[in-house]
Amino acid sequence: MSLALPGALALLGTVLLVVLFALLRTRRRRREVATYFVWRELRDSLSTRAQRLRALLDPLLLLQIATIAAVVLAMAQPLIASRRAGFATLAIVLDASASMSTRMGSGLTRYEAAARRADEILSTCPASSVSIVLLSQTPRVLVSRESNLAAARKAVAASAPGWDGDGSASDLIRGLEAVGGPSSFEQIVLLSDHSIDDLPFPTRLETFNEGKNVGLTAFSVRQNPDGAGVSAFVELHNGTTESRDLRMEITDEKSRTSVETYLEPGDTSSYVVPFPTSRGTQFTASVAAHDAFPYDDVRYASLDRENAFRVLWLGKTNRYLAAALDSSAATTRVEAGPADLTVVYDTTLDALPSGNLLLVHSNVRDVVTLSARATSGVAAAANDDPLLAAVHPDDIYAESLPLVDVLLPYRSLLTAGGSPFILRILDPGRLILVLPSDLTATNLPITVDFPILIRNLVSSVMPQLPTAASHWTLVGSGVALGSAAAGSAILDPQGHSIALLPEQRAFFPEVPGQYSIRVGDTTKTVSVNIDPRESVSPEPEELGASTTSLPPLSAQSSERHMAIWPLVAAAFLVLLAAEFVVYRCRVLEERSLG
Amino acid sequence: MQQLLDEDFLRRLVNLRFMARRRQGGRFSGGHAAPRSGMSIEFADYRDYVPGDDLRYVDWNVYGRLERLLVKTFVQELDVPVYFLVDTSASMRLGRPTKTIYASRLALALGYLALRNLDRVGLYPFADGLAECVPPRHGMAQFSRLLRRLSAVVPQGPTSLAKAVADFQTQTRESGIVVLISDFCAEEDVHEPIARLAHRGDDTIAIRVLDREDVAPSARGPVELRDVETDERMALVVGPATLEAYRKGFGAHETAIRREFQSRRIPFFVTTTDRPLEQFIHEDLRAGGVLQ
Repeated sequence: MSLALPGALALLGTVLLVVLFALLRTRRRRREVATYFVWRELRDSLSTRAQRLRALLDPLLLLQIATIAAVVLAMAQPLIASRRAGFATLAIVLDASASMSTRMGSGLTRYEAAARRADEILSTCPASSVSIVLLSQTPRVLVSRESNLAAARKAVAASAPGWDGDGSASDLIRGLEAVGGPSSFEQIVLLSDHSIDDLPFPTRLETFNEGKNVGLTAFSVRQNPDGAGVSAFVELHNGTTESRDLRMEITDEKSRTSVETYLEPGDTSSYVVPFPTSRGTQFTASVAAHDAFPYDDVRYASLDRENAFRVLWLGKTNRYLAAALDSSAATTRVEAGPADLTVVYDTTLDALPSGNLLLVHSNVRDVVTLSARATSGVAAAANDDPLLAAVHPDDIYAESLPLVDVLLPYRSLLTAGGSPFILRILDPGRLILVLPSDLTATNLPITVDFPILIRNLVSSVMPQLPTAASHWTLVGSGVALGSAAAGSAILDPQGHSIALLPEQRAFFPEVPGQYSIRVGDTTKTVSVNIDPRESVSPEPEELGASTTSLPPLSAQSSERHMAIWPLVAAAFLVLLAAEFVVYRCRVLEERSLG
Repeated sequence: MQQLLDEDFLRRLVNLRFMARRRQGGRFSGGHAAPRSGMSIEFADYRDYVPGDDLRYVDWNVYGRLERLLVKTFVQELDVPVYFLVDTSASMRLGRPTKTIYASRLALALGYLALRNLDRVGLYPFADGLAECVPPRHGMAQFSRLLRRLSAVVPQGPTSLAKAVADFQTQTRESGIVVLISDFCAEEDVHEPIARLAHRGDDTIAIRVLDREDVAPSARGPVELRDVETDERMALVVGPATLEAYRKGFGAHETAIRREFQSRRIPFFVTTTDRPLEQFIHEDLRAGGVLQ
């Protein structure tokens, strides 16, 4: 038995006063007697200890003590264990947010511990009807007004947390409204790793927030304005109690970069990680944290790069040139149509193509004509054209150079043996770069100067790119599919196809990762992350704010107020008043006789 | 007078007459038949005429039939002294009303009847000996003396009935009706004083006046009892068993007293102060033959 107001027991001290008064009242009273000799004969035989004890057990004193005790108990509001069947209606709200997957020191996840507690409540504090709600940003009803508690326990055992964020008060109300509303429950038990503020009804909060976490709390990617790679923005939180050396890695589809850092306990730091070699559109940030909640050690972001450098390749292929192009930009080969750069390799064209042009060992009728080998030698810079930035001509050697006849005005950038090695046709509005020699007849492909030269070329002709930023969404948040899902296909992070209904206009990703959505002819990447707020658990002292004054759940039984004590107290008071009236009447009668 | 008796009460007693169980001889004519023949209107017997007898008492009718001179004798009605021995020891101040008041009222009532019966009435208050007495006299003026004396009584001192009786018999040579009023709440043996009263031929009536507390004490719990006469004290826890034992002890004491009086053929009456005096007089004393 416990007390709702234990402080009321202090009033029991008044018993001492009553006993004191009783002792004063029962102090030996002097009586004059005429028959002393009769009394004297009784003294030794009857004045025993038992009689003294009985004399102390004054019925009036016992009545007064009992009255005080009853009044005090009525004020203290005793709660007694009740063997009745727990609660008529019980709602158990299980936090099923992502953070409940945090593993605790016992080896169980928070959700597993909460589920065990729910099972314990259902087995030791049975209710006539139980409802179980899984709370997150998208609350779900697990059990609705189920009287079969075994079935409810089975459903709890089979449940699992999702990847959604924490549910708010409105989410909780929404979940409970689905099973009859908060007011329809005699008791609402919230099993969560955090408290929920501003709840308009009383709940019993039991928290499970063990487990220390290191997590990525923010991640985004922005394309560099010059088109040369991206910059990644990462925020890292160390929620453990120890300093950590951490290594973060940023990857796209093809390349990766990493950074190492040091975080003090409780620190949160932001980093800008340059990723100049990135040409991808899908990015992953990860940290090797080895913590209790590994699911926020990886975050995803995607970048729409529709402005990939379009290359129209004419003639033979050359892997050195192709590699140099790909390393310079996110290139996209186009078969026809407009291109940012047209590469003509070891072929002959009838006319000069439009747009920017790279002619390598090729002829263009009536414009560029290559003839027999003329000379050889080490390259030399003919001018300081920006295309030669960081190019060292001394490292370039041509075993043989064809003679080139250009009918349009041009300017030699490099020469070898007096012949043009790299020239630029001066055609306003576009850039035409000519490499007359066969690349295999030079050491150019194996020098570092070649990719630098190609990068300079690409940079010169690269269209101005918008500073596109990455985007991602949260688990459970809707992703619009456009006007209709017909013809759409979604692949989850594991590459499995997600079935869509014909009228479906959106889908709600349930796990974090990269999703591929193909709508019509376009394919879009959607990065899905768990809520960053799930990475930070509240400190223990921050909990309990919403804990109500509801009586605790008993392991074996529920507790309820003993409504009988006020009645008992009232009965004793009546008895005491009656005794007082009788006493006064007797006193008045004796006075009248006297 | 107002405090002890009222006139209405006395008026209700006038039809009563004090009865002596034995024929007492007094010095004056009174309302009681004397053990010797004398002059009165109540015929007693015949005896042979002897010279010198008053010829007025010769029954000439008998002489006419039997030719024998017989003289009629009559019961001589003489006054009988009525002595009231009233206990004024300290124990008599207990009770509501006090036993002293009750005893005084009783003595005055009976004395009033005796005076109306032309008897002499004397008052002998006593405690451990006789106090200031009122010698027996005739007339209603004596009633006033009795009243003044009883009004002045202050109960005090221990009880010594033996010494009181001895002093009483020393002061009064003439036997008479002795009305002994006391609570008999003393440890002393009553055998000797009762024997003394019986031996002198007094017609004794014993009346025990008790307080209800004497019979059924109301004390409960721890009390300090003080003997009102000796100031002796004792601490006692009074419970139901104690009260039961007290009732037995008190009953045994009263039985012993009653047996002692009965052995001397002395009527013994018991009353309590909460009982109406008139009821006691009519129901007990009259029924017991003390009054007629």
